[in-house]
Amino acid sequence: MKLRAFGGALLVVGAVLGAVGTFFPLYGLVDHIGPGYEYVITSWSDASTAPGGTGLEARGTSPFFGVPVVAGAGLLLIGVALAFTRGRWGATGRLTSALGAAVLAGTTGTAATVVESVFRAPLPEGDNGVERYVGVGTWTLAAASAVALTGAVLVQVWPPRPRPALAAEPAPAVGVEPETSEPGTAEPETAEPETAEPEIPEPETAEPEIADEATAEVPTPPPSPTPRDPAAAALREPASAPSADPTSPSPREREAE
Amino acid sequence: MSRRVLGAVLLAVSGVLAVLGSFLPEYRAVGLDPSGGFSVSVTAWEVTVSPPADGIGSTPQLGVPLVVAALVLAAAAGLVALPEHQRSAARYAAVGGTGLLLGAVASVLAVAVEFVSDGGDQLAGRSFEVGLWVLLLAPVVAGFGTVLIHAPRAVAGSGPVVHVLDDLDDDDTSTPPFGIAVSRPDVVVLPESSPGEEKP
Repeated sequence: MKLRAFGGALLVVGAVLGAVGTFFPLYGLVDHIGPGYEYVITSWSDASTAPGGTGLEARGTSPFFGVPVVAGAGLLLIGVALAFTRGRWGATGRLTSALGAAVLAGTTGTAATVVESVFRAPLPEGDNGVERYVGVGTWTLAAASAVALTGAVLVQVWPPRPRPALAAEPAPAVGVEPETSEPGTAEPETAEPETAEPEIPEPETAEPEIADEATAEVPTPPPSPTPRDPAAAALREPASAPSADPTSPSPREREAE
Repeated sequence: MSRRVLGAVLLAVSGVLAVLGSFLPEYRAVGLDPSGGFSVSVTAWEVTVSPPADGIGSTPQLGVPLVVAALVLAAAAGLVALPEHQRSAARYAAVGGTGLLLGAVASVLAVAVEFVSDGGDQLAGRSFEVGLWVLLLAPVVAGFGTVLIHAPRAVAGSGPVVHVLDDLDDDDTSTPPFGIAVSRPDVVVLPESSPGEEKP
């Protein structure tokens, strides 16, 4: 749940980054020869310093990449607003956030091809003083896309993996039926015969299958503290060895994993 | 054809439309001098100038995001065939591909509008071309396809199949296919007895 909340926060951050990034220059051209002519393009307009001018002046239009970016940011915000509700609206919100992130990524990718073409274009003859640079807006849009896509992945509710049916598992030779027993109750029942022996410190945690093996091959386990039969003692020995680890999973717990 | 299959077909069609539209001219312009016959035609991949001239510069490769979106949509169309418990794969791929296509087509539209609405130099007669209309159609088709693949799939019944061989219009319709109909007076209602009402 915390990961999903983090994803929701990333979606909001991506939407804000995208909207803000449209106002920063996607790329720019600076002419270092002469009075210092600069030409800058954002996602809404282009601007340039006229020779002898004091600052950037709006010059005309540029491709309005800002419109799909803002639309994608709006989808992200709608998606976040709905993503944490229950039922059908929640699913709609999570899909909407994925759609918004994809719109943002598609727009950024197309804007990036435009920026790339500027760097591929040959400079005019004798215009060696022109410097081209990638603007902050391009990097901001790229970051917004990455953040929004990550958030759209994290905010999803993934369905649980289907587990194999219990009936497909081979039944243990001796044991309790798994349908009618809880994982905690199955262990003390099978380990109970060993509790009389004093040399086993924690008999409750003994593994059932090994305890079953001991009880099956030795029908009457001698409860005496000093067993004469070395074979019976050797058979009981593995029963006490795993009991040192109380955290060892029972067979049923291993099944669940 | 079920609605889900129709949705998958629409997703594939929209991917084809996106790729096709990227190779058709998006917009063009002709020279101010009509006798010169000078014209510029721009696709998502290249600028064609007639008669050929140098110094055109570079063309933005607007088709790259379009092709990427088309590939995602084609993958989504294929993922529809996955079993029920993996249905999310096709849904997210379709939503992602549709979103990518929306963003890419809107950006191509932005470039085209900026070119066509820009006036003032030696070019006149600026107009949108068929490629742009094909591109605008693609996300609409993808949207319909994305909605349709969310339709629930038809579930085959798990009970026994009963074939009714008798003509249902004849008089003998009171007997059900299995067993004999139990009329109300034949049902014996046992008297309710609670544990507290033991006979002494």
